[in-house]
Amino acid sequence: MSICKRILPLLLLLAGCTRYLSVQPQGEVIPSSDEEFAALIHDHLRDIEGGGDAYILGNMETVALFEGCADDLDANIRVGDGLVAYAGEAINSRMSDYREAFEIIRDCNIVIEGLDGRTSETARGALGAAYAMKGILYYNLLREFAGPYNPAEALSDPGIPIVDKVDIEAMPARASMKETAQYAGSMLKKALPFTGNDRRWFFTTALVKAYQARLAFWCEDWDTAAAVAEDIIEHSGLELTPADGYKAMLDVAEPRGEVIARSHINNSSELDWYFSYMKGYIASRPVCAALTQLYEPGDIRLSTSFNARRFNTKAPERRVRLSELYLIAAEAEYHRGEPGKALGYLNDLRRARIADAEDLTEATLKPVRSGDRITEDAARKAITPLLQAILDERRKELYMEGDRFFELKRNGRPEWWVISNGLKYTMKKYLYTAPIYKQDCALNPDMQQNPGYED
Amino acid sequence: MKTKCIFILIIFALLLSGCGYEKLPPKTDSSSQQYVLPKGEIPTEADREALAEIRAEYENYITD
Repeated sequence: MSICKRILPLLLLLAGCTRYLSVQPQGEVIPSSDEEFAALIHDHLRDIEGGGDAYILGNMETVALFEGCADDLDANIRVGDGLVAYAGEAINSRMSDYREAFEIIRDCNIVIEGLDGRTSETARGALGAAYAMKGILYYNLLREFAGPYNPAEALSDPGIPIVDKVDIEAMPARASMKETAQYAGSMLKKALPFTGNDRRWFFTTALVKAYQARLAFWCEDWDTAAAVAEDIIEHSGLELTPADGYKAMLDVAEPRGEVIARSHINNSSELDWYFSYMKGYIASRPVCAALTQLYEPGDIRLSTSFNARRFNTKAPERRVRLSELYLIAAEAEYHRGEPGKALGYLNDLRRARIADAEDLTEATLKPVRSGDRITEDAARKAITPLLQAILDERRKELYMEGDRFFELKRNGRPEWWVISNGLKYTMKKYLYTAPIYKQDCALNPDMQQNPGYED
Repeated sequence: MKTKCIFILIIFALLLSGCGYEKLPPKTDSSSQQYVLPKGEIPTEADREALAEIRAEYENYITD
């Protein structure tokens, strides 16, 4: 019995408390006050302003990625330094962006759940920014990790998993493209009552509306895209920056003129050293011949975009500008069967960019070129002279802002090739859509991988 | 009696401290977390000619 007396305490010690496994947060707090929730948002706002954010507004790194994957810079002349030769080289880094985006969505959900119903200025500002960021992230995810949007098949085509609340055990499968688009739209709509012209929370009313226009445009909801873009053009108080202020508008850090928002507005960011390298990488691959041939004499964009050796000279930042809203309005009106309105928006933009520009009319539009990479439009119809003029203007205007890759994806996903290190790599259709994060597919049997990436 | 007591206590202790069921995610460490990049092909003669044309256009552009 004495042995029992000795062994019993020992066994109790062994079988006792297991709290040593309960890890306590060190140096972090579970947010409860308005300011603590707002701090989660400020972390991401600081990333946008410092140029470190690659997932919400994007930054110079994402410009380099998407311009490297597209064809405005010609890898067949010179691949260059630090740029991918084509999108096939970037599938693993793009896949990681999926995970990073959902980490920000998690933070937005924490803030939305924690601050819902609170009325302080801080709470309202943080809530508006959380809704806006979530809406923008879902728009970005839809463009990158789902196929091109086809309204006729959007109810069955796979979109993005909807994560609407904080639940670490939830493993939602992919929603449809239409559900994803509706969810992104609902987040942007919820953001609007909290926004205004105050840039402290970054997401102003004009910026949120611009993303509503972008979302409708991507989803080929031409009526909404035209209505929202025209609302911003008429009521935002912004005007197109004329040619003599064009270069300064692009170069200065703070939003100026027609710029609604841009990445890297903090010109003393800790990442500035990195961006000086990045500019060099981008300027190491020449602009392709097809783009250079689009410029007319007197176009301010010709002297601003690249030098005599066709290396980039435009500040490679992500921007949301009024000119893009003009282009959205023009293309949306074209698809709505309003060519006169489409030409009107196009001519407004051309007058702000080209000295002594002659207004285009249906009679003076150039015939459709042969040999262009884009041969069908977003609605899967043949290119017309008017649409060609709109797409050309967009290509020149949004050059080096990470737009061209998605223009190719939206308009038929053309295939082309590059030769790098003696081997030919083909930009196949499936490469326009990045793979869903591989571990998510391994953990969740209901998670559907994108075509071309199934093991 | 001693042996029986020790045996009961050991069983009791094993039940208390023994391994319980834990809902762990499926093991994925052994699977690759990256995709194999698409492989390149040997360019055809027509590809090489097209490449030479692209480069010649560029050389002409910058020397004009």
